[in-house]
Formats: sequence, structure tokens, C-alpha cells
Amino acid sequence: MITVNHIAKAYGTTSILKDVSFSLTSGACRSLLGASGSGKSTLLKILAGLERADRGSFLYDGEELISSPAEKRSVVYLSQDPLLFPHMSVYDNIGYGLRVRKMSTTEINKKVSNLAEQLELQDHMDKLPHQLSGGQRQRVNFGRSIIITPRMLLLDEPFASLDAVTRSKMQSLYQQVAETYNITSLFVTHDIREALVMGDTYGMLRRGTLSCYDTQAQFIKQPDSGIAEEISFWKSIEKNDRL
Amino acid sequence: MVGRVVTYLALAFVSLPLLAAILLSLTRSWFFPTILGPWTSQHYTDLWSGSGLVSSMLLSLGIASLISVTSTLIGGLISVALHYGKSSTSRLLALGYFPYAIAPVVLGSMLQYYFLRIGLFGSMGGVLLAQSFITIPFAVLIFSSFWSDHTTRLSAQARTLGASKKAILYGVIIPSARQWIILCSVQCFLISWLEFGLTRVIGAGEVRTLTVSIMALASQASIYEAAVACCLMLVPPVLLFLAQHKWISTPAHP
Amino acid sequence: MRKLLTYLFLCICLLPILLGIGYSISYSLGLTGLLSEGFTWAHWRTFFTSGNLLSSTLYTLGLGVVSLLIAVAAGLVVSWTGGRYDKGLSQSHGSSLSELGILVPLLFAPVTAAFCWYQILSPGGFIARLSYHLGLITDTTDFPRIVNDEWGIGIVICHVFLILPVFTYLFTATARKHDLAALYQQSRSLGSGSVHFFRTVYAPIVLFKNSRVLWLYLIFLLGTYEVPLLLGSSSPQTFSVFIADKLTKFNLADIPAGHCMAIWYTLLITVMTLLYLRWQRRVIW
Repeated sequence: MITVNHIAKAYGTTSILKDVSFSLTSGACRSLLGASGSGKSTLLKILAGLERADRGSFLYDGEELISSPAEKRSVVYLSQDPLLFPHMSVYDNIGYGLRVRKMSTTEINKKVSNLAEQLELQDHMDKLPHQLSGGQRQRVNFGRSIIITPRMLLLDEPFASLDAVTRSKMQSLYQQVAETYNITSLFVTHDIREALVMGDTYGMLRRGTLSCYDTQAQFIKQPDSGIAEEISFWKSIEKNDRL
Repeated sequence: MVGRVVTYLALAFVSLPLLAAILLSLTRSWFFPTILGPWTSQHYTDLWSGSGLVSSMLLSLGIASLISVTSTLIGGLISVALHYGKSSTSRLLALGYFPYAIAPVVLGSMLQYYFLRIGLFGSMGGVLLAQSFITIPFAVLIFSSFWSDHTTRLSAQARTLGASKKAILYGVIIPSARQWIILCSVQCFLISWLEFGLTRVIGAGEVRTLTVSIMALASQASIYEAAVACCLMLVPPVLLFLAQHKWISTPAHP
Repeated sequence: MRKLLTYLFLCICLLPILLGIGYSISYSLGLTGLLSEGFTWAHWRTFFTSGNLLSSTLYTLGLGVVSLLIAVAAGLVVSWTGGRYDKGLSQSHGSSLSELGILVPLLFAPVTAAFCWYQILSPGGFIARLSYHLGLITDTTDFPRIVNDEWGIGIVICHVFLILPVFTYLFTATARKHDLAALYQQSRSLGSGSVHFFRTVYAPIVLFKNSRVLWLYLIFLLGTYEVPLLLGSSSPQTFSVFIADKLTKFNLADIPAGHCMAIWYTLLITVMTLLYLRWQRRVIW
């Protein structure tokens, strides 16, 4: 169980996060939306330990993580850019976290091979990142994060740079893998449809505070979620088409 | 904390010679075990009373300026010729690295015979010619990075708008190349200004640049004069780095 | 005009070296020179058996490699610590004062640097005087030989001084270009500490991306003249000092040895360059 209480962060006199609190059960995914500059990425980086909160707490099963250094939290941050190590092959990139944890080579081989098959990367294991497509790089990025069975995965618009078809495939793949490995995650996106598809619960960051919605129905009702406009847009397209 | 200590240690390490030169140029009677002798500006005032350092400095400035201008001009022209020529530019440019394969002093030593035969040994003309062997290819290599796809498309655009080749050269290419011209001039100047081995060999000690003077003074154990010469050596590079930093803004295109 | 300029470029690049090497080969084979008596292998035989070849080669290579390794290691550490990666992405760039300060050696001519380091490291220099006042020595003869010594310690220190800023600047620029700060944050997220990241990601990427420059600097170090001239010992001598010494002094009997060494030095540089180009072609990224 993840519990975040009263996280606040300001840069100088500009307050980015005022009072963010939420909780997330194990294995669940919360989609997070918000306007540009609303603090979504800042929140993720605070939870990952890459930025320091001004106040607040971050508990995992009752254990306080807010003061732990990033490398000790087992909370993985995934940005839009896959950020693979350019000099390491797909195999070495995926196995990176396991080597850090000094796992044996046999064990690493086994885990990496199994996961690579699930991610459909088994034919690309010797390739370097620059030899992969955008979708393949993002899959390697996932693999590298999931293989260390993190406490939480923080996804910061991971599919934003992909085309529509690849994005759809990646969404399905992620959901399969998340279910298999029981991954708890926070999924930031600008895409309303993606938010609805990926999330079990939802959140909106507005002026530094987070509003949480446990069901789609509650979320859809929100006037600033943008869903009502989206539905009305598609209805008008359909109407024009019939005419 | 560790980072700051390492940075300060590195800065201290690179500052030591600068401190040494400045302190030695401003002291006298520096006998062991005195760390610092009494202060004096005598060595600087003596510059104007025939110590020879001022003429060495002026000679070095003259040679470096000539090298800078001629190498930039010739290098620029060669660069234009290579770019618009039919031969493979990259292969030709690779030849530009040849002069750097061998140390200048070794090259100069091997070429002494030829300079003697053509009557340029021990002359300023010989030194200028010898330094050009290094600075002109260097200038061509610097200008090679100017010829990007952007420049070619810009020229093509100007042509479709009716500009002649001369108009494109003076109105488009040269203005676009401003930063490269400045960079090339400064770098060629510095190569010449800092050069010692080649100058000493081809100049045969007759062309007494500031670097040759420093070596001569150091060999004679005239440490105060040598320290003054070292400080004088630093002036143009400092001024040029500051000027280059001011003149060269972000490149106009990627 | 274009053709003329292209030929001019070819001449400037190739002619001096070809003429120089041509003359050296011809002199070393006894075909030219004031004391020449026609074709002979004698000069080469003397050169190979004199011991100068081996001692100069080992000395020059040793100094070059050691100087390069120390400068590279120092450059890596300074660029890493100066980048302040531990402070987070927003502060991953070093302060401009230290970035500029580290470039001070670029203002120095090698002869200037050699002179200054001599005044710092010699038995009568600044450090020796400081040691005297700290009670560590009682006379100049007590101070260890760091300049004009057989190990070339003073030469290495001066070389490191001259090339450290270039490497620091290059490594920092490479780290910024390849966004190693972001990679560092990603690797922390995966559980990696700073030492592990430095060892497995930072150093390999930075070194590989600058391998050409490192190789060029090794070649440059093999040819330095002023620094070993002022700070080195009379024997063994580096390539440049040996060659210039033999070819510019007035002992005619020494000249063939100088030309033989010049050819040997040129061959060595050529082989090293070809080896590097071959290695570079095989590596993918």
C-alpha cells in the first residue's frame, strides 16, 4: 500500500505542489492528468527521490521513504525519452539493475531471457539502442524497470513520442506485463483516452493540489477533465458524416 | 563536499605556474631558501631599456598576425574550392591531418636542408613559410565544419532568387562564415604565437620570437627576465579568448 | 582557380612531409650529406645497435602513455565532480568560474609551462623552499629530483598541466551532449549509486566518444619538444629532443642518427594511426 501525504514543493516563490495526498493499493495504476506546468513531473520526481519535497511523507507499507536516497527506494522513474545506456546492448540494458544488485550471471540470464520474450525483444538482444525503433526502445526501458520488481513505477508520458498504432500496442503490452508482475504505478499522460484505458483510478492536478477519483464515472463527470468536450466533438463529427 | 575539494585542487594545480611566473617577475634576489624575495617592478621598467623582450614580443605579434591573416584567407579559399570541387571532399580533408602526424620541430629539422637551399633558413620568411605548413591545413579543417547542408541550401535559395556567384559569396557565404573566420584567425594566431621548436630550428636563433627568448633566458638562468617574458606571453591569449568569447555567439545553424 | 587551390592544398599537406622524409631516408642511406660516401646500411646498423632507439622509444612512449593516463583520469574525475550530478538535473552544470579557471593552461605555451614548472619543482624551486621552511629538508640536495630526472616526473606533471583542461572541457561537453545527467538520474532510479554509474556508464561513454582526440593527444605527447628539453634528463632523450639535437648541432657524425630516428618516429606514428583507424572501423556506436 502506498500512501502519500501533504507533499509540497516550491521553487523560490513559485509554489508547484501545495498539498498532494493520495493512496494506492498494491498492483493498481492511477492515471494522472493535468495542464502543462501543473507539477505532474515534479511529483513523480519527488516520489522517485530525484527531487526533494519541502514537506510531506511517502509511505510504502508503513515504511517512510521520503528521506531515502533514490537508489535505495526501489521506485523507478520512466520518462518520455527511454534513456537507454547507449553503449550497452539490449541484454545489458535490461539486466543493468540486476547487475547493480550483484545477482549471479546465471540468474540474470534466466530473468532477462524470460522477460525479453514477453516484451518480444528476444531477436534484438545484441543490438545497441541506436539500432532500435522508438517502440522497441520503450520496451527495453520497461524491461529494465520491471525486472528489478520495483515497489512502484512512475511513468511520465512514456508513449507520447510514439505513433498511434505503436502507442496502442504499447498500452496493451504494458497492461499485460503490469498484471503479470503486479506492478503498482502512477501513469502521467496528456491523453484522456490513454488515461481512461491505463488507469484503475484517476487523478487531476490543479494548481498544486491533487483531486482523486476512484471510478471512471466520477472522473468523467469532472467538467475540466475534457471528456465532455471530447464526446461532443466526436458526436458532431458523426452528425456531419451522416449529413 | 568531495566535488568541491576536487574542483579546488584542480584549480590550484592549474594556477601554480601562473602564480610562479607573476611572482618571479615581481621579485629579485630570489636566493634559496627565501620563498619570496623583495618586491620590485624593475624587471618591467627594464623592458624599455633595450632588454630585447619588447622587440621579441613585437616580432612574435607581427609573425602571428601575418600567419593569422594569410592562413585564414588561404584556408578559406581552399575550403571553398574543396567544397565546390568534383573530388571527394572528405578524402581530401583527411590529408589535412597529415601535417599533425609529425612534431613541428622534427619536421623543421628534416626540412632544414631545403630552407638552406632556397635561402630562407634563419629568416623571418622561412619561419612564416614553415608555420604556414601547419596553420593552412588547420584553417581548412576549421572551415570544413562551416560547409553544412544548411549553407548549401542557403546558397541554392539565393541562386533561385537571382543572385550571382559573386553576390552569393559576398552577401551570403562570407557573412554566414563570420564565426568561423574569427575562430580560425584566433586559433592560427595562437598556434604561431605559442610555437617554439619549428621557429627555433628554421629561424636558427636569428628569428628571436618571445618563445625563443624564453628558452634562451631560461638556459642562461636569467629567471626574472624569463618570468617577465612568460607574463608577456600570456597577454595576447587572454585578450583573444575574451574577444573570441564576445564575438562568437551561438552558431547561426546546427 | 579551383583546381589550383586544390593542388595548393595537396602540396601544403603532403610536400613538406614527403620532402622531409625523403631527405631523411636519403641521408640515412648515405646518399646525401657532406660526409656521404654512397649507399650504405652502416648508419642504420649503428642506429639499431647503439641503444638510442630502444631507450628513446621506451622513454618517449612511457612518458606519453603515463601523462595521458593521468590526464584522462584527472579529467574524468574533475568533469564528474564539477558536473555536480548528485545535486540533481537542475544543477548538473558546473559553475562558470571553475569551468573558466580550469582553462588557464590553454594560455600557456609549452615552453612557458616548462619554465614555470621548473621554477616550482626544481631543488631550488618554490616547493623545495616551502619544504625547507616546514623543516622537511635542510638543503637543496635533500629535495628529491623531480626535474631533469631519469623518470621524467617533471615532464609528466607539465604534460598533465597542459592537457588536463582540454580533457576536462571535452568530457564535460560530451556528458552534456549525451545527457549523462538524465542517464544518471535514471540509473539512480534503478538502484545504481554514483560510483557504479561512473564506472559502468559515465567513464565508458565519455572515453569512447573522445577516443579520437585521446589518440591524437597521445601522438602529440610523443612529439613534444620544449617540455622534455627543459625538464628532461640528458639521457635518455625523447624523440623530438634527440632528433633536434642531432640535426641542428654541428657534429656532422651525429646527423645520420638524427635522420634514422626521424624515420623511426614517423613510422611509429603512422603505424599507431593505422591501428587506431582499424580499431575505430570495427566499433559500431
